[in-house]
Amino acid sequence: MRNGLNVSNVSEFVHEIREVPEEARVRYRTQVSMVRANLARARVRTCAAGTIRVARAFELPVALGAPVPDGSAPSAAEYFQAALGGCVLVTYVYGSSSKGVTLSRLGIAVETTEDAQRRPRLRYALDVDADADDRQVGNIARYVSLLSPNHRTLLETNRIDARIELSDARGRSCSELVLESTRADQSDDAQSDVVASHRCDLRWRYGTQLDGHVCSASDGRLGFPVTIDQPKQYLGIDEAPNPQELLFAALGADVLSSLLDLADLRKVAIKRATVDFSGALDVRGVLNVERTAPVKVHAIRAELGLEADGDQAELHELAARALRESSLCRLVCDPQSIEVTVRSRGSELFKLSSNQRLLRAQLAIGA
Amino acid sequence: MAIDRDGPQALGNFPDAEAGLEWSNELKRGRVPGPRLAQHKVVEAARGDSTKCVHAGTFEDPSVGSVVTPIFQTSTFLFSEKTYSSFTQGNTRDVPIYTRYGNPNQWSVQEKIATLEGAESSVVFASGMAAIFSTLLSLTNRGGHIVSSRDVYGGTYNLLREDMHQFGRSVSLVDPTSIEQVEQAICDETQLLFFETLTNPLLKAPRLLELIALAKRRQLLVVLDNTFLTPILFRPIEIGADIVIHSCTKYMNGHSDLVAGVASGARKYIDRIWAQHLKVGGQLEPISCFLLERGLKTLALRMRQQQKSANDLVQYLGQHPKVGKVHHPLARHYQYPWVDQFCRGNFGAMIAFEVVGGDEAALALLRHLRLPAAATSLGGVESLVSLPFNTSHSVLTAAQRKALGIEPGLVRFSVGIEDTVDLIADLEQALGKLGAMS
Repeated sequence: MRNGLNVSNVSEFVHEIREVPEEARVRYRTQVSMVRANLARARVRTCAAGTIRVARAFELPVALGAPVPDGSAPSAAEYFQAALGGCVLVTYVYGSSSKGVTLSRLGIAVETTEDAQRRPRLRYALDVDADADDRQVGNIARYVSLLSPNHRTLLETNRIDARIELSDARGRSCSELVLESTRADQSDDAQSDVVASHRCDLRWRYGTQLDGHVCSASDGRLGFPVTIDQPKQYLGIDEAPNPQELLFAALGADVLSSLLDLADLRKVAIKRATVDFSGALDVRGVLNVERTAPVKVHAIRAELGLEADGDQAELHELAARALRESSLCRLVCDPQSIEVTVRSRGSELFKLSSNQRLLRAQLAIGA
Repeated sequence: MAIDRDGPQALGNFPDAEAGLEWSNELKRGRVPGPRLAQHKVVEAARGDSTKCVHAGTFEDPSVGSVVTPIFQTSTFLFSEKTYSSFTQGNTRDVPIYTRYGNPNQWSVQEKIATLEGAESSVVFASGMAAIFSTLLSLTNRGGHIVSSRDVYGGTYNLLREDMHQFGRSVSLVDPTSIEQVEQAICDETQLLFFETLTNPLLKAPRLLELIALAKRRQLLVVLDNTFLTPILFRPIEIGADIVIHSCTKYMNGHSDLVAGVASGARKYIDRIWAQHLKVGGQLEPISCFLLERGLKTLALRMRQQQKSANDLVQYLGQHPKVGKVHHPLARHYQYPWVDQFCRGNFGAMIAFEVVGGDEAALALLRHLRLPAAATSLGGVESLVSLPFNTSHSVLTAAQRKALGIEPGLVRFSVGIEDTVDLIADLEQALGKLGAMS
């Protein structure tokens, strides 16, 4: 065991998915439902992992919109920080274990700020203490910026296929829409005054288990504890949701929050609302087994279930608008730039601006 | 403007191997069969069952040339570079370290059983129940759901009913012969189907081919307890089951002198079961492995004789006026004709039959029989007989037994290797005495 991971199991899995690509395909899913006006519950659902199914018994509280009065739940934006930071850390653990590097300490601080024009700025600082020289510590961090699925998802353009299902006393009706990026590259616009700041600090505990806190500067709340882990089928111990499941929890909660805000503005009474997000991971890409396999989370689907009284066409439009106005959906659809700082044993090694231009250069496919 | 490049055509991964950007893709170890040492004899799949029974897995002793596997009665093994490396890399299942992890005697018997099953790997346990518990726990997650049957062995039923929910797994029990009931029980959290290939004691047959097809469609694992049939008569892995389990206490050992269990299947699953087993305990001692290996050498021979006698007994019992319904695939009233899809005429050596006169008459029959011993268990060289109403199914109410099809007077008969004519003669005299009583 190195860093709490069974390297032989990783190695055997690499060989298996090289021969049987079907075993590399995983589909994660999280369902967010309204509990009350300012609180939702994210339920992590069974994931389809290759040819088997993996039950995931986790429920997370999520604050919607304004902070919950008793401060009992992180917000969608906060879970989003944890999803990015957790994915980067666990990819670092997998990578260093595969390369024979033993970690003694590993941590990350993720921060996303937003200005009044809702322009985001993403950054994280990775803190490593390992039995490797600075060059190797830095190289692994560079590989992680290529191979962490959530990091990579943010660098690329993505589409979200959405389905809206309304039900009321008269019956059911469905509509579909696609959310996609409208720009080819990350925005280089400078932020004006920051109006919101969300942060996550995570520490690697052992194996694939991570602990930390999330908080937002703007509402003055204390940090909320978060734990992240992988299914035991992927060398975890089933202690908590994994970073992809957190990403879908964040997206679902953000869409739900947006939906409830719009409904409030239009005086529409929502009786029931659920937002189900799912997406695929091809582990061949993540482990660099097949270079044409995507690293990023892909085939992202959103399903909105809504029960409300009112004009059906207006309700469909309201739900579609909630999807389009979700800042986290936008963040995922548009390519982003992530400022990465890497520290080894407390000293800064380098900073890099991880974005599509750098990615293309790293992949040698042209700027 | 849609510019997304989602899916496989998305930006690739690393440029190429020449760039020196190695990652997990550079790891060398693939899955291997076993575990086994160079001294463990490997027998090709094309060989016959009797040859596999005798030779597969034998430890070919390099020091004194012992023809049979020596007993490695040791709890621990000397450290070597391989040991230290296995601790770092995690392949501790393949290196002799400590007998709870593995022992050459375990590997001998595991190699023999895996060869007979057509499986990549096997792991032996201190009982069939230990095999079932580690298998179910390791192949499901907290929040997971298992579909099984009320007709399973009583110990298994108790585990499913009383304990699995304590570990966060829910269980649905359905009629194993109804594919519709199985399908209806499957939910989002379902991970695994667990059934017996022939149920105890009524020899009901699940629709295995349809069950396995259903499981593949729904991405579910199929675990089958094949204790009643053994790999000599039916190999579930050949029709797509993921894991096959046996109580080796029964036919596999065949001598009623040890308690053991085994799970076999693809190494990726058996490694997970082994890792669970390592934590919950229940390892099979080297001396028990030796006994099991010895018992397995005659498995094919024993099954041939036991099945032949069982088939003759079914014919005999089916015509006897003191016997009501006979529960066996060769019997007149047998309701599960699809059993032939997988058994192909080989139905093992278990019989259940109803004695006219109910439980009192059945109790009297047991007193009059001279050859079969009235005792629990089955599959030994000696015939055994028991009554479900006061043994395996005594915890059920009469109504619950009736719902399962266990009628008053039901006798379970495990046919041994005694001469068929002697077994029939013994039944004849015992049933005859029932006649005299009435």
